[in-house]
Amino acid sequence: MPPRDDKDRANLLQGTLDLLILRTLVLGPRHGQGIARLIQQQSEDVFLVDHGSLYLALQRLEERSWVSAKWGASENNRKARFYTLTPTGRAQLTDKISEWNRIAGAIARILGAEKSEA
Amino acid sequence: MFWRKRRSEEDFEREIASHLAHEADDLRDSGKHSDPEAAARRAFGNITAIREASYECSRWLWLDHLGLDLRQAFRQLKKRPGFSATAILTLALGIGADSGIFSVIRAVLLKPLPYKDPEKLAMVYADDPARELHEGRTSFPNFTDWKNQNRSFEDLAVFSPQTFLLGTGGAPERMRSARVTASFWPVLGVTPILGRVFTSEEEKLGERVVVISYPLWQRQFGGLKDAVGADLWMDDRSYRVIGVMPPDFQFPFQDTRAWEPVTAHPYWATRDAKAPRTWAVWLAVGRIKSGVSWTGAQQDIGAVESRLSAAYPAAALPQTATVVPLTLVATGRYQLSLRLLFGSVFVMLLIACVNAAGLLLARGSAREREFGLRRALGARRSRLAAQLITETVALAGCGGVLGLMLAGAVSQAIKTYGPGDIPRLAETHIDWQVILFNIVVTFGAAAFASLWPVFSSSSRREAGSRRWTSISTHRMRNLLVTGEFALALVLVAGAALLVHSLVRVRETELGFRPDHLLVMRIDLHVGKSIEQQASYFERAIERAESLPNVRSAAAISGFLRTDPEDSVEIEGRPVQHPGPCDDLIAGRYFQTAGVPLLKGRVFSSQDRRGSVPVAIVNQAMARTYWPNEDPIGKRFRFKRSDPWLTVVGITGDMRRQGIERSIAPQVFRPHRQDEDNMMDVIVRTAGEPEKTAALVRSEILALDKSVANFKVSTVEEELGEQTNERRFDTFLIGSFGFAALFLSAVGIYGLMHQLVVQRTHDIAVRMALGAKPETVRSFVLRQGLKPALAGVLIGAGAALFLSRLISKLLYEVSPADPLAFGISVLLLLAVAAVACRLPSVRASRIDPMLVLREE
Repeated sequence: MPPRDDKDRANLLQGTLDLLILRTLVLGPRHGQGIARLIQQQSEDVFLVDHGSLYLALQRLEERSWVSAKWGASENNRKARFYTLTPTGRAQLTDKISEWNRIAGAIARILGAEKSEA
Repeated sequence: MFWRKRRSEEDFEREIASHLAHEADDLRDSGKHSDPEAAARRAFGNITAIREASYECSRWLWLDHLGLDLRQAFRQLKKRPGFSATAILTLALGIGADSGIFSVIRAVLLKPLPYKDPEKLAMVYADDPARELHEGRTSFPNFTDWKNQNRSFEDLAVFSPQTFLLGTGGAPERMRSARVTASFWPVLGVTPILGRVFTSEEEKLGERVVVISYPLWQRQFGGLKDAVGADLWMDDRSYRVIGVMPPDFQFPFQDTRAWEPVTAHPYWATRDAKAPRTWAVWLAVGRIKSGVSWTGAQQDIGAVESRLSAAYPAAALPQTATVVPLTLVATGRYQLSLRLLFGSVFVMLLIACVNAAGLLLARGSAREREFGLRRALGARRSRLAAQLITETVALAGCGGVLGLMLAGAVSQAIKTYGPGDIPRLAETHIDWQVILFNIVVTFGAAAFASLWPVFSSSSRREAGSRRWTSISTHRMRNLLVTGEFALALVLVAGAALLVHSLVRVRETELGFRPDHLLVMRIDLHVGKSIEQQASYFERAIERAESLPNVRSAAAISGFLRTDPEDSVEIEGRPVQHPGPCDDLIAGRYFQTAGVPLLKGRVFSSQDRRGSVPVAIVNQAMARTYWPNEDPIGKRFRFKRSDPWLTVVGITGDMRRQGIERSIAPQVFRPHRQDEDNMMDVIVRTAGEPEKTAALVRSEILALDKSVANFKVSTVEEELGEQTNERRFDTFLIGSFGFAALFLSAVGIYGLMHQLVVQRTHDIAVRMALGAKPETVRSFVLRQGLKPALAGVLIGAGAALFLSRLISKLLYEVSPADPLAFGISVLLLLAVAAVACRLPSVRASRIDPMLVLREE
């Protein structure tokens, strides 16, 4: 078991990672490594996705039935496990995006206020 | 959502491998890396950690741990078969005995009676404490007044247990029946499974209708529907069968086979209707109105009876009436016995738990290093505790399963060998409630047994400290030994008290010679004149005496059962209550029974109807009514309406009301001066009575084909039946006491053995410093005997307190009987000494050089 403060940080990151994974899957089924690559590319290398955490997150999402998984062949002609967004997952994504926007807006307002005060 | 199919670890493994391959492909394409596989692995991070994390969050971890712990637990059990077998057998014994007795208690005491709202039903007795009249019957007119004048009962009914001869072509058979009022059915709230019950209209008319029991229906009518409307011959009278009761309806007796209206029997016209008020032959049962308390009902009906008693002084009615819940009446006699048994098995279960706790404690300290190591490797305390609990539960579980089997055997044995008159004993079986009880007891035992070891190993331990075994374990070990011996003493002392009582019962002076004596109850019942009845018994005695191997024969109205008359009037003195017992005799009774005639004469053929009414009294009677006087020639009578009886002889006392009851004043009268259609014929044989029994029976049966079949038994058998319940209790409690002795021996042995193992180092140092083997031996002995002695003393105190609760079950033995207590204390101390002997010898054989070199 990791120490408690570690766990807290992981929890904070978790939500974000879940959101990003779900968002990536909107475009269609994708395997784990593909998801990681896409997030990295789309964030213009701001996010360095920890691959291990990604798979734990995928497993969590699968258990909640937000995504489903199936083995298939990848573009490289290798076997890979492909993840698909389920209807529940899609609904969750909408919720999470609006929630994120709310939080981001709030944070932006706070930061903006601070800036103007300074 | 543990039911969803989980991903296997292999699947996760494959996915990671696939990821690494894809990542390596990408890196290779970018051309930046010389070893793309290694770079991919680096980018992924700690693969093992992720795999473990995946494993932990993907499963129900505790379930997984439970599985692991269970496997580990069973491995542990297998590794130490001696320890495991002892602990499992100990627990099985405790749990099994507990569940077995529970199955009996459930059937006999806890299961509601098969009537509607049985908790509202009550027996109503006519009582008069001043006249020593308890649980008395009432007369029909009295019952009618009770019924009309009370305000507490919804309804009342009366019944009278009776027997009848079922005429089935060959020799008729005697069965139990009951004469009941029509209100009997609604009061009990029972309905027949076939047909109907009789109405008050039919009761008024005295219709010969009968409701039969399930067994009689099966036997007589083969369980056929057309039994309703068929004829049943009872005592040469034909009754129309109108209904069949369900199998569990057994009222008032287990073997009551038929119920008829009170008015249908010829007794109604010849006796009941003629002698009102004083003719108290009816037992009353009533249903209390809801909202009325037992005491309220008691006061109400008591007041009614008091008013009646004042209104009819000539009838000399009992002063009051008592209300007793039917549930108590049904199980009354056995309540105390069964509670005692249950209490005893509970104590035994506690001993078993303490024992198991001791064994686990010993195991715990032997595994001290294992736990220390695991703590050091990072196992959390809760995990270790969980594992210990799992091990205990596994132990107790094995014990519980074995215990359930044992419970089946116990309940079967009690059903087979227990006293036959325990109501509803036959309904005892292992059902889901008993299994549930078994499971609860098992988990309770596991919790109890694991409480202390877990407590100590999870809280007192610090990883790395080598001697966690010192003070706390020492104190706990002493506590366990003390507790075990205290509990064991309670059981052993209880058993000793009962055994002493049984010995006293065996030693009781009967006042007659029960050996070489046969007894048979012959019932002529209806259809014979008084003269025919008398001559039948005389001829039966003659026939029996003509047989070889028969010394003499006689008849008496009740050989081993008799009840005192309500009153007696000695000439020149007022009427006294209660009176002496009164029996008719025929033949050479005193010679046959072996009772000495102390003074006066026996009856002769001259003492017959029309001659001076005479009586022979026993010493108790002479002492009670004519102290310091010669009773011969004195006169007395039972009631005003009776003729005076002249005493012509005095005999020795004979214990006839039951072995465990005191000798009552007794009157014998010649049967020719009264009448009785039912008598016990007794036969004294020269050789073994069993060998002559069949011959006597067939010879007497040949006398008159219309006489019902009867059973011949030896008087010793009959006396044995009287002490059945006592022997049953004594045997069971005795076995529990024995088991307790055994368990405490095992327990103290295990703990002392552990002590020696733990103290090996200390002992070796002492010996190296010159301690003699005797010193070491006595050191270990003292360690064991001190807490055992404390336990025995505490137990003796508790037993002294508890034994008063069973004083009713003791016979001529005080609850503080010094003999029983002394033997129990000595026995337990001896057991402790013997059990400590082996570990102490082992300690004295320790080789100090060997041990100290090992350090």
